[in-house]
Amino acid sequence: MNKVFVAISLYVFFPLFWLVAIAGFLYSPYLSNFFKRDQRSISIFAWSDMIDPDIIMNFERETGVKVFLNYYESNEELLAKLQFSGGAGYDLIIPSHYVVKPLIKRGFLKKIDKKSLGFWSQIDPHLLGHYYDPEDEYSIPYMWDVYGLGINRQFFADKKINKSWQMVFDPSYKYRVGMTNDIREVMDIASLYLYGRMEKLQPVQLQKVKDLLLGQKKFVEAYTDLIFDFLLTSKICPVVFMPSTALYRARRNVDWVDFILPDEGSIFNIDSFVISAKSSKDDMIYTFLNYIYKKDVIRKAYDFYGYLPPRKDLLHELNLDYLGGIDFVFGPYFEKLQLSRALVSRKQMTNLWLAIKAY
Amino acid sequence: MRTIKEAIVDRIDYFLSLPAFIWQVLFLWIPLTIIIVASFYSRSTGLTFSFYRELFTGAHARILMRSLVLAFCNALACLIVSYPIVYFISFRASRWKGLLVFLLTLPFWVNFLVHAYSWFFILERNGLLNKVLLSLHVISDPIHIINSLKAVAIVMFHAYLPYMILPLYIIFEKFDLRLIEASMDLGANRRETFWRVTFPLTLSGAKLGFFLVMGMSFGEYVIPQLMIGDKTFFVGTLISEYFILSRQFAVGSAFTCLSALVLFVLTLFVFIGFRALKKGVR
Amino acid sequence: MRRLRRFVLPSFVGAAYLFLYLPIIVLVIFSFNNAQGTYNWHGFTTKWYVALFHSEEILMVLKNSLIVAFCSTFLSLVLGVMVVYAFKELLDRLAGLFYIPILVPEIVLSVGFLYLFSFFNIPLGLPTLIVAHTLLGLAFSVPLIHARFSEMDSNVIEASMDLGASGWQTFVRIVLPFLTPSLLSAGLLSWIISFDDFLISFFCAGSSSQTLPLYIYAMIRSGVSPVINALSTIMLVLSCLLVLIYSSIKFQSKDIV
Repeated sequence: MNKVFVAISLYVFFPLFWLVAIAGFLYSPYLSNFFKRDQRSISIFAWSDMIDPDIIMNFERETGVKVFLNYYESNEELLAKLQFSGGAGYDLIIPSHYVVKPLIKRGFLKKIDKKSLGFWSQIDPHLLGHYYDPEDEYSIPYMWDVYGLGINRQFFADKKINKSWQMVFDPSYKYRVGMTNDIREVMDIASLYLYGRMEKLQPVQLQKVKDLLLGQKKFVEAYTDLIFDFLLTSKICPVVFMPSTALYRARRNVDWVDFILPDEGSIFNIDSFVISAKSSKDDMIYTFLNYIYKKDVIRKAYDFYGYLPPRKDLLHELNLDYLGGIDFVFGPYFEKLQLSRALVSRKQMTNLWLAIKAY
Repeated sequence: MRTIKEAIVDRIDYFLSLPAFIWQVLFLWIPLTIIIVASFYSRSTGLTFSFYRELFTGAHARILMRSLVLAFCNALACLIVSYPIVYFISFRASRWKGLLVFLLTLPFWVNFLVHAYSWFFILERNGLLNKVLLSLHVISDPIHIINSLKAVAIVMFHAYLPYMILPLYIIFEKFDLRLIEASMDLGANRRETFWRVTFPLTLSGAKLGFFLVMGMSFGEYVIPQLMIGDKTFFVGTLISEYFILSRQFAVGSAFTCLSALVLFVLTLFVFIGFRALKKGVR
Repeated sequence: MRRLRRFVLPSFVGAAYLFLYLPIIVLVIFSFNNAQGTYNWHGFTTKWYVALFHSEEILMVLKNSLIVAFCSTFLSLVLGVMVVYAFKELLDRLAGLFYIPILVPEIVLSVGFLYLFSFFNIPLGLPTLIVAHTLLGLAFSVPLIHARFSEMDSNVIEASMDLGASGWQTFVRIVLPFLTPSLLSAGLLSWIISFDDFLISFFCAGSSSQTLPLYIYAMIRSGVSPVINALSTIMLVLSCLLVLIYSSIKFQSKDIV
């Protein structure tokens, strides 16, 4: 009887032993994070390609505070990961503007103490007070870019350039175009082209957008998010719908590319710093923020990536002629600029992509 | 404590073999079950077919069809090209055999991503192919292959050719050459010998290679994604879109199950096809 | 005309091999191209190879890939040997069971892993990758080692035990050396599959622990960078050497036997 009891408990014990061993192995990162917390360190959650590793290294060297960079690939991943841990594990997050409101709503963010930010007065007011954070209590604009059409000037030397989205949607043009691989942005400009500035699309309008995009597909070379400048500079596409950062990068290699902001209006994106509600490392966070918003640090980031800076002084110092100058963008054109946002539900957006890309 | 140690030593076979089996259960069976269950379960309404119903659209059907056709044609093309190659290496190469087999395995050591990337250098507008054709005056304008289905087909064919050659080669190597001698001695000519002796006996290798290539081509993500400029969905890219970008896990699971089912059905058809082929040749 | 027929098949095979190797040749040539972001030839340079060794990112992802590959290969071999040695009779029937991870499309596996890890809140990183790759590795190690072990005369084990050797000694001195060829081939296969794996890493590595294929993928998506060419050329040369060493060892051991 005793032997049977022992035998059975071992048939339970053996598997349990291995399961615990495997589980321990799999959960070990949590353990190492636990030890990390005692270090002088902060953890940042950002879009890949956002922060120059050199800046991080310099910050670590100057202040002795270690910075852990974590990346996310999509905003859904960002929300999902924060949901799991309730925001714990990250101190600073850099979400796109349209994610900020959901984050605030779910209580993941902490209010910002603007008095601790030495640079606040330098933030350009055009980047403040938007729909996602009207009082700017939770987010600090970091980098932004504006979307438009990248044009191959040589190709259009003898042809007319129309300052309109028509250049990328009209099938009577015989060239191939490049588009972004983001359905939100694609829908934004399609609807700008068809209807002008909209908040939401009705089903009838959505159908027309779909028809426009389906018709466009025949002469789309690629939907991309990384090779806008390549499509333009390799002369595959004389017109590319792209963010301003792509044109900046293209201009580093050639000088015969221009950036057009169409008359119907355009979209822009703001990436902001937000502070996780579960973070307790306030002093280190504000040290980091004050460091990364320093004029020379932001200048370096701009030179590297081409994302437009948030500081007023820098915006007026930099040569932004390829955009038409900052006084144009933030002046007469600003009312035509719209923060890119979802015009229909996420499900409808996926279905639209599905309809377009199934063929 | 002593009894436990004794018990371990006593049943050490059980103790040692557990991890491998646990691995299978934990990391293969349970995940597959989760996928199937998740495709039927909705947080709001419990057990439901609604996610499957969402998949009954023309778009999804086209995507499945496209991947199926691509997988089948790719496997077929690989088989047709590989068979003569293996025949040559196995039966005719003699001195060069070792070298040829070595050269076959070398491409495996280059990451397939890098292979696809290298094809850009050849197929691009300013790439090797266009440069050569233009300089030979065969064409006057660069031909447009990149970012289209043609590019996907070429690169997939190139990537999976070794996967067809190797299983065939293994079977060919097991083939007893004396059977050919015997057949010739019994009066059959070369062609008859091939179709009635060599071909049927190597069919198992062809079958294995065909299923391998077809199965892998069907779920392929990288090559379609890189070579078609993100303009078209295939099964692999759509699943990735569901799970990574739009995070619609339930619909994604339903689509995954549906694709697996569709692949299984195609495999069945091909299996029957091979059976018929074997019978027909006899 | 009859004479020419003899050349049809060899030329076909030659053309096929050329087709197979064309991208590799182009890859190697362009690793010396003195230009970035273009498919035109701009002159010879070795600066990309130099840049490679200075790139911290590449060294880090290489380190990650190597860690995962060695750990998962080690685990597949150890677990495989354990199960084959312990449960030989059962495996005669069940060995095929371990093949299933190869039959299931990799993307389905990747989705399954993602689900499993999300469900149990397991953080995505190197451990999850190692575990996933071990599953694939087992699919090769168990059948291969089992096949080899079946060729062993069971009387040898009995004889060794009768002569007074303990179970452990028998295992180390007799069984293990016999299994070595299968361990090598299974290990090699597992290693390549893990090191080269993209899809599973894409789903299960988490954004913070990049492996080499993921890094290459990210670079490819941003356009042409000869650093990739340089890296791949080096890996090609290294694996060439490895294969040559491996076959010469095999050759030698055959002589000994």
